[in-house]
Amino acid sequence: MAIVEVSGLNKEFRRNRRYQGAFGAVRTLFSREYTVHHAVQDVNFSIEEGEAVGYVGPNGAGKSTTIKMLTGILVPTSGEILVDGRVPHQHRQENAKVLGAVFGQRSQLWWDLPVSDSFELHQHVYGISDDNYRRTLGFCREVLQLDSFLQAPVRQLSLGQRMRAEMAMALLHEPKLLFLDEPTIGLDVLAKDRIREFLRTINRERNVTIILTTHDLKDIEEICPRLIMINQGQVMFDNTVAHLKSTVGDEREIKIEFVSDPGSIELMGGNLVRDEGARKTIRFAQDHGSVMTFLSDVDSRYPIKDVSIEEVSIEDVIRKLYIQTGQNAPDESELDIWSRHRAVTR
Amino acid sequence: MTAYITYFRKSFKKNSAYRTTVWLQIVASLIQVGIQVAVWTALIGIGSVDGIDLDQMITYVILNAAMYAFILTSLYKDVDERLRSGDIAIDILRPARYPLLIMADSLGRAAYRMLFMVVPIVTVSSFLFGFSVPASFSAGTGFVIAIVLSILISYSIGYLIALLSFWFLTTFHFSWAIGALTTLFSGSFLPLWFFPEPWATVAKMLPFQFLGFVPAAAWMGQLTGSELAMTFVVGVLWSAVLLMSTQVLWNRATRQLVVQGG
Repeated sequence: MAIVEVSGLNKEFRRNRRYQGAFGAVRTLFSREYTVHHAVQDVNFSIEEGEAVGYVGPNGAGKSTTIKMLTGILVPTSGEILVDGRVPHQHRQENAKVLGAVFGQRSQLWWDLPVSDSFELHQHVYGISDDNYRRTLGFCREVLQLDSFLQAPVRQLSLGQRMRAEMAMALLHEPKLLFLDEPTIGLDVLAKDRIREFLRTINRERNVTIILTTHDLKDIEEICPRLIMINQGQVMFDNTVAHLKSTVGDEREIKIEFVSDPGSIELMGGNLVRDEGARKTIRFAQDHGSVMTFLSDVDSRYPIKDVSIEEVSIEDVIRKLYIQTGQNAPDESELDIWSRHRAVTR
Repeated sequence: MTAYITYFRKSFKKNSAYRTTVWLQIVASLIQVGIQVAVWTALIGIGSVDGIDLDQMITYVILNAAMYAFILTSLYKDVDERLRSGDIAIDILRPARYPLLIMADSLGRAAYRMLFMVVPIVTVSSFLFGFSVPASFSAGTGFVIAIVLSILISYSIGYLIALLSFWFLTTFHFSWAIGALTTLFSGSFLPLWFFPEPWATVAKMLPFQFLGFVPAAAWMGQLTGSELAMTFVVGVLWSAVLLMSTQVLWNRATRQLVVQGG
């Protein structure tokens, strides 16, 4: 059964027009002109219970707006959302009980109090029975190794410890659906691994549906089999990560170190991307034949000393997709999105 | 219900994290009481003005300093900050009524201030300057009712300021205006019985009198009988109007809500 059902979803924001100049502030106050910004446009998707879905897009693409509508804290301009069979903004409190949320850049913990106090508060706000509370907390303490800092005030925790506590808190009421907004942001490599491992565990063993937004595509590769990409408010891609890689390019990046500089060489089906004399980097699309055949062919003419073959990373794939769909790299799109969707209305 | 009680308890505990604030606040309040006592000593001296003598005025000053704990208006600062940072999203995501959570949070702080600020301030001030107990049992009861009204009214005023920031995205202008009105019309600086007409009448129609004057005057037995009853009617009406406005605005605010920052 689908736990999230989104159809024809739109969200517009109105921004009052501001005027420049000496009397600009006064005009701004009385003006009724505004610009309309389409944050989300005709978005459709459906997520089954137990899935883990990566929800990605450049800054300002409409990711957070979608998540806020799914949680019920923003009301859609039009379109339908059903989360666990309910319209989120009409049943915000019931909806909240089946949801868990972790925001990498915000904290749900009480800054000045020990972690355990925030947990206790959570228990009462969500009306969790003592038995369930003890059981879930026990599970989280073990898997996330919370014991060493459970009694420490939140402000004294390291970021990695804090994120582990946030994860535990989001799961205490045993939500069916977990939203994660950049859960690994700012964490070191080990802390990231630990969080990813934990998310995989709860997804597979406890059947918790996960919706993850992130800019670290490694999160997605490791946790989510499925990827939804959004750009400029519209869904650009919705399929498996494996499918994404194969459609956008089933390429391999081959770094070859030759015994001596062969000069300009003939590449059968390969693309030279970097030439450093004896060391060359070549992109090879697999529909041109097997990599091994290609290599032995090259080796027979120009002796090879060393070689490394890499899969094109998901990051490259996504970059390609962002550029294809937005004609701009992720970093610029935030500025650009304002100029693109401007329509002055009276 | 347990949710709000737990919230109240945690808020109380949270406030104990800032011990320096407590000491500074006690010292600041004592200085303020000292200055006001000196001013009234110079103004009234021996004898009385409009039937108020110096001892009564000192009690009035101390009671108004004690009101610090029960005036919840400043809760708008918490909401404003959460709105600015976007953390309000988290508050609204909880399966609880946000207005009641803020109430529980503010009451937790009020209880903490009551115990660790008001009690020491009143004790030290009464030792230094003298302090009268409630004029009678009914005066004491009147005081308690007045305090309940001041909590309700100051809560709804603070919450209204906070809610307006959902539209204006800043609370600066409103809080400044309300702060000025409160200083003037609460009577905490100049008791309403010294107000000339028509300002005395105006002040008695406004809700601000409950944030200083009414509880103190009830304690001192200066407001009694039908006059006190009329004042309570005004207070109950204001509480109802203000609380209903917060409810209406809150319902609209949640539709309006634009959570800032990603």
